[in-house]
Amino acid sequence: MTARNGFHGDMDRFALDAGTAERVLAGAMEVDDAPPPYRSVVRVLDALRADPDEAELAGGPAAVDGIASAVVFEPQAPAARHPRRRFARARLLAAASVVCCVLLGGGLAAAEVLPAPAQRTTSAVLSQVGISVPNGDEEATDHHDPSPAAHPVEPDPVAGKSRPPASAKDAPRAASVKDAPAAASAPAPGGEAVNASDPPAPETDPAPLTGLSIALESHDFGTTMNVPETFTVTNHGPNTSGTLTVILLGGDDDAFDISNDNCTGQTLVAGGTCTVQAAFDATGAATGRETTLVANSDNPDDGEAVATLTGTVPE
Amino acid sequence: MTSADVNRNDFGDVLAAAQEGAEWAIAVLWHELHPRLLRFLRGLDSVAAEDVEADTWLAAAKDLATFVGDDKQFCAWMFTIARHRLIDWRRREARGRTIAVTPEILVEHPTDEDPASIAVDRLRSDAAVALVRASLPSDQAEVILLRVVGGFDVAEVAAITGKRPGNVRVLQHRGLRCLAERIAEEEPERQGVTR
Repeated sequence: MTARNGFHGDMDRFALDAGTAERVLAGAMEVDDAPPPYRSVVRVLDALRADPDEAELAGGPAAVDGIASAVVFEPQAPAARHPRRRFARARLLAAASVVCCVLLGGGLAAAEVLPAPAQRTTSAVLSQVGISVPNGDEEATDHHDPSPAAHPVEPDPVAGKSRPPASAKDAPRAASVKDAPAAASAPAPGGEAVNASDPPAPETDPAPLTGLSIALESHDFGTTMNVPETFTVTNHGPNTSGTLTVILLGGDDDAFDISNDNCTGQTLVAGGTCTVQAAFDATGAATGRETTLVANSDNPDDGEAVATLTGTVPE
Repeated sequence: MTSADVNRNDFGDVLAAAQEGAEWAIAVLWHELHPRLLRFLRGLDSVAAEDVEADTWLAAAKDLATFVGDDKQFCAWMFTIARHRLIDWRRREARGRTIAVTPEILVEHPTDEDPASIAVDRLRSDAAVALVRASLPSDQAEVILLRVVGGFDVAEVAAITGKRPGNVRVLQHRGLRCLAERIAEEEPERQGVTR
């Protein structure tokens, strides 16, 4: 475990409370109001939010042409809502779009004179109607004919890098990382649309538990104050764990307390367990509070386990 | 029409027109989301970003007619597609490398980005994206970018990434700290260069 993990070393200088972190991320904090070590971070995040410049918007008209064509080309698209009107309109627009796409986008794309994003979009669209034009890259790729469902289940390549050892409770959810967001982030048809276009590999054989886990995975204290709840940390790995650390991290971490920590500083043999007690101890506004109880060790192979704690300050 | 014109009241009109294939409406959506999607993807993979972004729009176009939701949900839908497309792209890239692959090739972060060369006080968006990509592990970068570039709250990021809100909070907290530490590490070097 290193300082970069956020637990040890240089804690004073880079300490960041949850409220400040939230304001920094939400863009609600001016540079001069931020803690000194985070002023540069605020500048970086402000730059990420900056309005797009002309270069970023280059190729817009051609890209929009391509997208519009793809909307009406899609045979399964409208069907349900206004079948007659949409079918007739789709035919007309499809014919017009083919002509437009071939003459304008296709011609420009074939000549490779479009800006890179437009070249790629146009190339991709035309490839769907059997017309091949360069996509602007030197090497040919097969990015537009994937069959993700046939892919073997593997760690999430986007988020997997820093989490090599999936925690005990994360491991079985590995596939749902790609399955869940569609339905959760967009209402029914929209969510289905994500899955339809990007079917991730289904998890048919959940991975066995490895590394550390916490049970309970979540606990709502309700309005009950100062009554500890016991959380059990288990080492599911084949070897003795590294030295454990259990902390409250993020959100309203000051609204909860850890008591009777029998884990921090200990190691767990394979299959071994230890317990931590945490309680809700908040004051102030009568609102819900939430934080996470994180258990990990100085051995990266142990991964980390997270439990969500919630509670509500009574009125 | 600019992005400022797309408010919650007229998003429904824009969406309905876009679902009919109206270019003006698609242009509004593209203008609003294209820069943000590209920054998000470039923050995770500079090589794949433009291809994946183009793929994202085509995938969305295919299913646009069946989308139901407000502007926030549409934005989340687009970022979800982009994320899935990037996952697919990386899988294909990994499968395609069957011979003569050195470990260096599989490193996610290109090594030609030196945060020390970036002046934080006058940062452009592309440099900020590069700094995040070069400084943070992918899972932290993803959460930070979704929060900042996507404009999503913790619950929305959790839904997009399939993580629990608690995990998102942990990742964003570590990401901010990691970014601050990385910038602080590079600060003396940057000062040494400029003075």
